[in-house]
Amino acid sequence: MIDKANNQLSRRKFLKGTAKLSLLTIAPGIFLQDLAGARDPATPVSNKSRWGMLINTNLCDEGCDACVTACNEEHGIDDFGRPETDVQWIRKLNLVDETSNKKYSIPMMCQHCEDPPCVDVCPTGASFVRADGIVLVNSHTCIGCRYCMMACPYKARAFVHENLSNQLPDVPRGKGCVESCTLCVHRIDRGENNTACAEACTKDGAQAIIFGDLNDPDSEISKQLVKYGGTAIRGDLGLNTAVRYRGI
Amino acid sequence: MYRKILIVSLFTFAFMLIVLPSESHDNQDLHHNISKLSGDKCVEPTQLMREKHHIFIEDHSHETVVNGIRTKKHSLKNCIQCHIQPLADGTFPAKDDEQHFCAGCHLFTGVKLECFDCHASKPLRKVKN
Repeated sequence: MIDKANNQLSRRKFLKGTAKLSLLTIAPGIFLQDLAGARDPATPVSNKSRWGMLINTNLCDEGCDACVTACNEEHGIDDFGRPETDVQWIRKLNLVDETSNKKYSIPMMCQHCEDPPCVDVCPTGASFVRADGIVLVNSHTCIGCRYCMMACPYKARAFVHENLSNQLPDVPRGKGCVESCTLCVHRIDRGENNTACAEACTKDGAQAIIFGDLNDPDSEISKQLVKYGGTAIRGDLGLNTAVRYRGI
Repeated sequence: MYRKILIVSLFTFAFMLIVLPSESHDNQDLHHNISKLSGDKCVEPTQLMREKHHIFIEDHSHETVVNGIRTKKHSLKNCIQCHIQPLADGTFPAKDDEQHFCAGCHLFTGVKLECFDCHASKPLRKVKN
């Protein structure tokens, strides 16, 4: 009888102890999640974050196109077998330095400029910069004039020439609109904070792409930018791009 | 004579009272293939949705694209999630098929539906390997 009472007491103590422990472990978890910036879907994006990518061209392999494949799959971009008009959000460029004969292989996509020429020339306001620095096209207002394609120094935008079907719920796309890399905005809004290309590069490629918040000094991308620096392609234009390259 | 006319008109009126509501009831049953998983009510009263769904969806689309607001209420993706369900053969109705919840009404009323030129007209179902 006494043993039983003792047993009960110890069980009670045990339960109390585990409850305290679980509180201690849950609370930091919640705190960490807040720090990670999982935004409430009802609050608008702010300029607290500025999303960007750092691409290490020394690691990028000439024969690898994991980022391109992942991007096409993520956004439902189909190949119609017409390379002149097929849509590309990201493409691989293979370059050779004429003096040193050094070969470079770099993925090229929308550079998400702070002051983008595509936004300057858009006659309807469809091309815009979101508060967190992502350059987007609002397809509801895009009239398909393609001025932005002419203005972009990176040839990063594409016009949809074909009738599309089986679009993905998160990525509406249609004929007659211009589109480009969205930095996987649907993923960012879900709080995933990684793009399809960066994920694929880490998994199947050469770990050359880092995605992160340029405004957060503790993020991996900011630390690497401080340590190694990052070149903006056509930096002479003073567009302050969010996509930076190492090794060029 | 007048009495006859009165009786006939009364009968006609009574007939209309009986027949018309049952007809509108049939109209309501046009789209019975709605998922019950998310509850038995739409995000707004049915009549309000019939009159203003396009305004709700358009306003929400602006908020989503420009401000990154991804709430489910009034989002077209969420509409599709409930309202488009597989047919008896397991496939989803095409965007211009009468059995498609949106197309059914739009075809009936002759109002051109352009949302699905760009947006997905069916929910995404991940196939388990």
